[in-house]
Amino acid sequence: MKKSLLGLFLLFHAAFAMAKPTLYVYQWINSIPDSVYKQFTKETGVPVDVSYYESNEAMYAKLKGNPSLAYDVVFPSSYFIKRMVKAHLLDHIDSSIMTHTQGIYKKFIHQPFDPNNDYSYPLTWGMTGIAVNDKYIPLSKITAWKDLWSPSYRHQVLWLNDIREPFSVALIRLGYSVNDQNPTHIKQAYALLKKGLPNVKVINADAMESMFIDEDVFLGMAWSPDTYQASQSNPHIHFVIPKGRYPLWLGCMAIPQGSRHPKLAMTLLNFLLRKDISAQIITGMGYAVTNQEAVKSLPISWQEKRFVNPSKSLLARGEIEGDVGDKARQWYEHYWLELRLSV
Amino acid sequence: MQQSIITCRDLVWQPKKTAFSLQAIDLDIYVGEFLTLLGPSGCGKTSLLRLLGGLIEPASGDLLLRGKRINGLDAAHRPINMVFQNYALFPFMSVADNVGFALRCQGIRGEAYHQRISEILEKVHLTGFEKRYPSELSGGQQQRVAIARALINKPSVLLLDEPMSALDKQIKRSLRRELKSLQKELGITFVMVTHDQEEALSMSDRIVLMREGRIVQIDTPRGMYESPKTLYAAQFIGEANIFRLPVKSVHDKSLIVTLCDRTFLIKKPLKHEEITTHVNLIIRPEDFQAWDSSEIESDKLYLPGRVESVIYKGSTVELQVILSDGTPVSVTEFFDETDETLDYRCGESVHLSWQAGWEVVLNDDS
Amino acid sequence: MSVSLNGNIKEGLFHWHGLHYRELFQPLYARLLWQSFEFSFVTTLTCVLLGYPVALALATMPKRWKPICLMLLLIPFWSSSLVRIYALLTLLKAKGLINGALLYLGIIKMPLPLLYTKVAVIIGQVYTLLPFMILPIYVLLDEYDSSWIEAAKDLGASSTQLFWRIFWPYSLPAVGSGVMCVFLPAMTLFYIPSLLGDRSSLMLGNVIQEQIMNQDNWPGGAATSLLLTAALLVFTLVYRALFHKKRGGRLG
Repeated sequence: MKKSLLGLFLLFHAAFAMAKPTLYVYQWINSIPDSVYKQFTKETGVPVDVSYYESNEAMYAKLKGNPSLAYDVVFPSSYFIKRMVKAHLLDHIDSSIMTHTQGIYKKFIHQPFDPNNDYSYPLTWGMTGIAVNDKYIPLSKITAWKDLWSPSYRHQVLWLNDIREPFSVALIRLGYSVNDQNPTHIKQAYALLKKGLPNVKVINADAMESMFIDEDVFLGMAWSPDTYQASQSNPHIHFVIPKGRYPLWLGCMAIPQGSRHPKLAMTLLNFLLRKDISAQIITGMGYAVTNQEAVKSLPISWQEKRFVNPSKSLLARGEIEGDVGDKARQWYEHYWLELRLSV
Repeated sequence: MQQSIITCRDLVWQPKKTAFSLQAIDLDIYVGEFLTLLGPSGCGKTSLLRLLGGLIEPASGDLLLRGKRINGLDAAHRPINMVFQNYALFPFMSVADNVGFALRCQGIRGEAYHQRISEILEKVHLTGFEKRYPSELSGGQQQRVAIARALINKPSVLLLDEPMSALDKQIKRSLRRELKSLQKELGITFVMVTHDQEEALSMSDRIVLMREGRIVQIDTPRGMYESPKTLYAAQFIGEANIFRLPVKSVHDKSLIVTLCDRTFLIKKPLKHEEITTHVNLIIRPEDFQAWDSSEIESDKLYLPGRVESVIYKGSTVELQVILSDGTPVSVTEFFDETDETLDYRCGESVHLSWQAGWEVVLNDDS
Repeated sequence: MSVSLNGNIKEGLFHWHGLHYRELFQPLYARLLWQSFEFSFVTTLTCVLLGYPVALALATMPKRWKPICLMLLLIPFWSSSLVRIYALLTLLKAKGLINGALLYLGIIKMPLPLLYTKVAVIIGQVYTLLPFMILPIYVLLDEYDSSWIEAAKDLGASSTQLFWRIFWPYSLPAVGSGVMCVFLPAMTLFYIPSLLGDRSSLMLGNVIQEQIMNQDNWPGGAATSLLLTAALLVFTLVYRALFHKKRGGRLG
């Protein structure tokens, strides 16, 4: 009974799909505005069905756990691409369809995690920096990563609950790459982080925005788009880009294996990279996009924002977070647990 | 005059929000006696017991213990302890812990504690039951644990609230004897509440009969049975045939009444100055004798009737007889080995008589 | 059996597939277990201290008030516990109701850091689990035989003795059930420490969630879950040993 019902369902589903394909998009919450998809449907007649995730890990777990979900588009962060390719979760992208790639910053393509962009194209990007509420701490006091270790901020600092971010910060302070795979270096980073623990009030990522808005936290590691959105609600919040290097992450687009309409999905990827569409992503959600031409079409107030329109030197200071491999990742996870249990 | 241990003088108890109350309670409880408070439910017997125990306080009147007023003294400080209905044993404590509860409350521990527990358990014949829990005991054993628990402080008076009501019918009879002999052994005054007149008759030295918050009569079981002072007492204790009869004439020591068209000479009631047009003639079933028509010479002195039912009870036969005027009466005949005529059939006509002078004559209850 | 699918951080030391279980014997996990235990213990103790008087009050209050008070106790539990934790969040925030009231009244000048503390975790757990302590105690206390009180008073018990010698031992089995009803979930409610806690408010449940949801480490998550289950089993056995002695049942 169950089987026949399922068969019937699939039959209908297939018939329906043949008649009128729908694209199933699985994306970060608060990333790409709905208006973009509406325009896509208007232009192509293809409806888009969107569901959301809050972490790469959740998305990864879902795709790996149930390959029959048949999403057509997902948005993994840069450091997740290689892992997903290795796990055979991603499909090839036909570069001939991708016609809007010429505007992408050269820095963001042909990265080690996907050297020929066979599986992914970067759409958005962001900085990991420091968020400060100037009601409590003068902006001039926070200029570098080491300030998060300053004894004047005991039990006040927020760390992002994303293993790579605190480690990236520590590795930068130690002069190592944010993608370092050397266990000794990871251990040194762990030791440095441990020294900073007394300053840490809370380790969180999901609620970071509301914590800053409601002033439960007024200093901490932060992502540029989240901080921008928080500052819209609470103008005391500022995003500080520390001296020296900073971690830079890419929001990539990819097509999961099992997609029923890979060609159509590629059309959507290409659509998203289009100048005017990318510009909508900037204004809609405060995300910086990889298409440098997009921001130039926007009003001057947007062009003045460094985190969406970086200078060459600022962009050069960013170090892209890529894959570190399974072995190093387990070291990161181990030391992370050690840190969380340290008193 | 016997020595009183507890004296109630004009005690009144008036709870809020209920129409019920205890009124004008005058009672002397004698040292070492087994006194029973008897009455139907709602008569106030349990309230009176609780007044004695100090669980409730009288509104007015005096409560004296050996002549000393104890109104207001709380339960814990009266040398009076209570065995509660259903015993109120603490189910989560062993027998020894239940019995020793009062001692622990006083801070008695160690050797003395265990010594006193085993002493009292020996008295109630429960040695060896120390570690059992109440749920592992029979009803009779639970009763004795409750008694032991109440006796551990050596009270002068032990109050028992319906101690038999939780028990099976079969063991009630033997436990009555047991409880009575325990009381004699201990020499402690027992005040027991019951609604069971048979229990009251068989166990008590004296019975306090109560009705609607007042004491109706205080008497020995025999006095209560043979000389009830009110119709209520006559009806409540034992079975009674009551005939309400018009008075024909009044003589010095007797009255003349008619019953079934026959004229009888009966005793005057106690309060003969209050005689009105009617009196109540009370004859216990066992005081009737039933005769066959062949056994009597003239039926003038007998009440004619017809046997309605016969219940054989071993040592007695209970007859239900309908008199010629339609009144039903109960008759109990004792087997007498020399008399072989005690053989009744339904529908048979019989003639009833009673031993002159064994009748009780009462005015209507006011 | 958890089979290690991923390469392991201590390859060379353990080639064995059961490595994930060996990991559990690291001091790290002992600390995690101990910390979970500490949180749950404090929560349980607080629940006993707060819940017992409430249960006693409920059981001894006039009959007509009982249904109303029970309703007041239970109505919040018609909504999801997660929603209630968010409600608590809005109370404890720097700009929340409590700080707002204190600031308004001039009692404090700066908001008190109530949220994102270990105390907040305890508050959250107590708030979520308190009824599970109150209800079993109430149900048992509600059935006490009022003649016990009279018997105890008749035998000379003072009010304190009445409580410690009658009510407390009588309700002890219910307190035991309450402790189990609070302690076991407290060990596992991972969302409370992660929503209300500070940086080190981490319990076994959080690590399981992180291993499975964030680290794609299913074997590790399975092994940690087993550790949690084993710990809960031990506590259950200890409970049984303490409270399931041969006890007198209720008298008819």
